[in-house]
Amino acid sequence: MDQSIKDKIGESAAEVFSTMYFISVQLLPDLPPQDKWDLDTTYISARIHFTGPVSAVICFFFPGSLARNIAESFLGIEAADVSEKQAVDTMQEAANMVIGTFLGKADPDGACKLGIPTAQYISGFSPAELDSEAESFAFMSEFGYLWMTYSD
Amino acid sequence: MAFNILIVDDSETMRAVIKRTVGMTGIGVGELLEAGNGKEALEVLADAWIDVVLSDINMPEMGGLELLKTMQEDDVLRNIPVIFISTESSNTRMAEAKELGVAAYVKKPFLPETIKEIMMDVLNKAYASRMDEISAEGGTDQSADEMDF
Repeated sequence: MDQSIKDKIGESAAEVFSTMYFISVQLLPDLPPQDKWDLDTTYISARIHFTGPVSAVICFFFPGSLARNIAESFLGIEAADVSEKQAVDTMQEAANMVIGTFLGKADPDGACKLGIPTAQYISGFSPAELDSEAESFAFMSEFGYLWMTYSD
Repeated sequence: MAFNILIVDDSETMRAVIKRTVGMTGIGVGELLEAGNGKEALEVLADAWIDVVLSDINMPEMGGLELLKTMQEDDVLRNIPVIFISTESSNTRMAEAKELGVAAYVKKPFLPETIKEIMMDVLNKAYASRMDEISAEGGTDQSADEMDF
């Protein structure tokens, strides 16, 4: 993957999380070593694609605690009361905004079409099992690492 | 003056974010109604008086562009301003929305100030236009000056 694509995705994620959710998210230059993973008990995978002159499938893996925190702030309910549906919906929209923002930077004329995102809860997530055919990235946040794969 | 606002987005969290943002603008809000897609929005519009629609574009079942197109084909609904709030910010998509008659476009992620500025501008224009129509019909000689909310 072109370094500029990686940089633009990093900028887009930072912009979306800080502007909309007041959470700092930073793309790491390299994947963190396994002994630093400190995995959450639950994760939400959010998948989104775009098609056009350039096509790609992007999959985010968000820690459940991040989803619950955002849903708690905006839905006005306790984190423990956030339903699976609400947490999934929250991260699905976050993925939509990150890649939509990325396309706004990388494809301002709109030659690419953004698909509708899908998301689901996953248990037993391990970055070691990320799609080996795709490029993998990690972001640092106060809720732990966020993971992402990009396949074109 | 209080305005009835319809928020259309398939994400419950995003509707909550927009609701909170609208609350922060200081604009007088009457009823704040919600819909999960364009089809649901049309059902709400059939039953309630709405002053402005804030809609996403990319939604299942019926997206924002189709909603706007359907509203433009209706003699009553065509007068309700629609503001798109979407991640879709390409020139092509914005030109398409403009051609269909969108009142304004806000790109996600957005700042509350942006929503406030755009909503005030759109509501001022809608109010002035309505006053012009009433004057033309001879219903009143009230000035169509812009209002400050």
